[in-house]
Amino acid sequence: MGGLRYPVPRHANSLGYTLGGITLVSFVLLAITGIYLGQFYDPGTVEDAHGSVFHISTEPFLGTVVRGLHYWLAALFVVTLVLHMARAFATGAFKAPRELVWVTGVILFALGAAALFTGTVLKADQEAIEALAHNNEIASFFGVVGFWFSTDFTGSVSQITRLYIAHVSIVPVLIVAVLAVHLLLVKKHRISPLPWGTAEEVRARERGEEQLTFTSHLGHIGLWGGVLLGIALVLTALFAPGLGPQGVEGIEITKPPWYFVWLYQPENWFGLNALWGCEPPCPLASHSSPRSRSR
Amino acid sequence: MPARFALLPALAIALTLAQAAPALAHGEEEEALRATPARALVQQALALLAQKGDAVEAHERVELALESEDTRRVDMALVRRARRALAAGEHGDAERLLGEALAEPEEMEAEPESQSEPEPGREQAPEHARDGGEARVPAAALDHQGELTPERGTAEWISLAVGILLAMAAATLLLRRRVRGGER
Repeated sequence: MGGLRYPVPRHANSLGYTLGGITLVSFVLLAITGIYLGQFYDPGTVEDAHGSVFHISTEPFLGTVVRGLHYWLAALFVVTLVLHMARAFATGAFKAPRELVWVTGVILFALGAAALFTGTVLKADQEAIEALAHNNEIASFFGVVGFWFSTDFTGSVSQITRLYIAHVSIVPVLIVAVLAVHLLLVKKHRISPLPWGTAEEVRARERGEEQLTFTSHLGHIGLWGGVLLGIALVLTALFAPGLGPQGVEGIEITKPPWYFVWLYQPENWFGLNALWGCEPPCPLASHSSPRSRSR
Repeated sequence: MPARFALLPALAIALTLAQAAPALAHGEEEEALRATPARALVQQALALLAQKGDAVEAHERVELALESEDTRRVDMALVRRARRALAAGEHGDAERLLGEALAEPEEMEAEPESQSEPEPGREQAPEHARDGGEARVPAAALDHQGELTPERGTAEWISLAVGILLAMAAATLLLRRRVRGGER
C-alpha cells in the first residue's frame, strides 16, 4: 500500500481526470460478468451459440440480469473510453513527454473495439451474423494481414469458436498487458497538468496545486465505479437486452449496434474504406501552442 | 486549441474522400445467389419476411431457390406453394410454408411426442434439439423467430432497487468528499 501513496495533483479527482479509471472499473466488471456468462455459453456452431444465449436469457439463476449487466457495462465502457480519449486530446495530454501514454491508449482503444466486435458476434442472431459477414469482408480487404480473420485460417474449429477465444482470452490478455504499460507510463510522467493559460501559468499552477495521495484518487475511482454499476443495474432492469432469431447469412436487414452505427452510412457510400475514418487522431497532427515540448 | 479542433474533422473528411471507392456489395451478387443451395435461400427468404417484412426480396430469394441446383434438405413442393402465397399477398401463409419447407423430417415426426403433458408433481426437463443424442440447443430457441424480450421478474426489480441505492450512495459519498475537500 505504501507504493500507492505517491502524490497526485488535486485535479486528478475531477471527473474529467477520473474517466480512465472508470473505464478500467467497467472493464473489470465486464470480466466478472463475462466469467459467469461463459459457464453457460456454447461456441460450437452458430446454432449452439444462439441456443446457449437463448438459454442464458431464460433459464439460469440471474442469467438475464448478468447478461443485461454485461451488455450495459459494455455500452458504458464505450462512453467512458471515448470521453477519456476526448479529454486527453482536448487537454493536450498526448504531448511530450506523454506521447507513449497516448499511443498505448490508442492501442487500448483498438483492443476495446475488438472486444466489442467479437462480443457482438457471439450471440449469433441476425445482427451478429451480419457483423460476422463484416469480419469476413475485412479479412479479404486486408489481404494477407487479414488471414487470421478469414474462414480459411483453419478448418478444424468454427469461426465463432475462434472469435469466442479472442473475446475471452486473446483480447483481454492483450488489454491487461498494454494497460500495465499505460498505467506505469502515467505513473512515470504523472497526471498531466491543467492546460489553461501560458506555459508559465501552467508551471506555476502545477507547483502550487495541492497534492493528494494516489489512494485518494483510487477511492474516487471506486465511488464513480459504484455510480457506474448502479446505472448499469438500473438500465438492466428497465431495458434488458433482447435476442433476435438465429442469424441467416447472405442478407443485411439489421443496423449495427449504436457504437458502430455512425459507420453505417459512410460504409454504404465508400465500402470498407470508411473504416479509415475511425482512426484516432495522431499526436503529430497538432503542434499548437502554448504546450511546448517540455510540457 | 480552435485550430486543433478544426483540423481533425477536416483531416477525417479528406482521408475519407481521398479513398472513396464504390461501396462494396453486402450480401451476394445474383450469380453467386444462383449457386447458393436452396435451403440457404429459403432461410434468407424466411428471415426477410419474418424480421423485415420485405416480401419483394423474399419473393426474389424464393425464385432463386426454385432455380437452385442444390435442393437438399428442403421441401421444394412447399417452397412452390410459398411462392404462390407470396404472389397472392398471403405473407403469413408464405412464412409458415417456408418454415415447414425447412423442417427436417425427424423433427416433423417427433412433434406429437413433445406435446405430451408432464406427470403431476414432476417437473418436465427442458426440451432440447434432437441432434444425434447430445442435447445442446433448446428446442424453444430453434422455434424462436421473433425478438426474445426477457420478462421482468423479481431479479430485475431487485436489480433496479439495488442499482438506485448504489448509485445514490456512491454519489452522496462523492459529494461529501468534494465538500470536505472544498472546506480545507
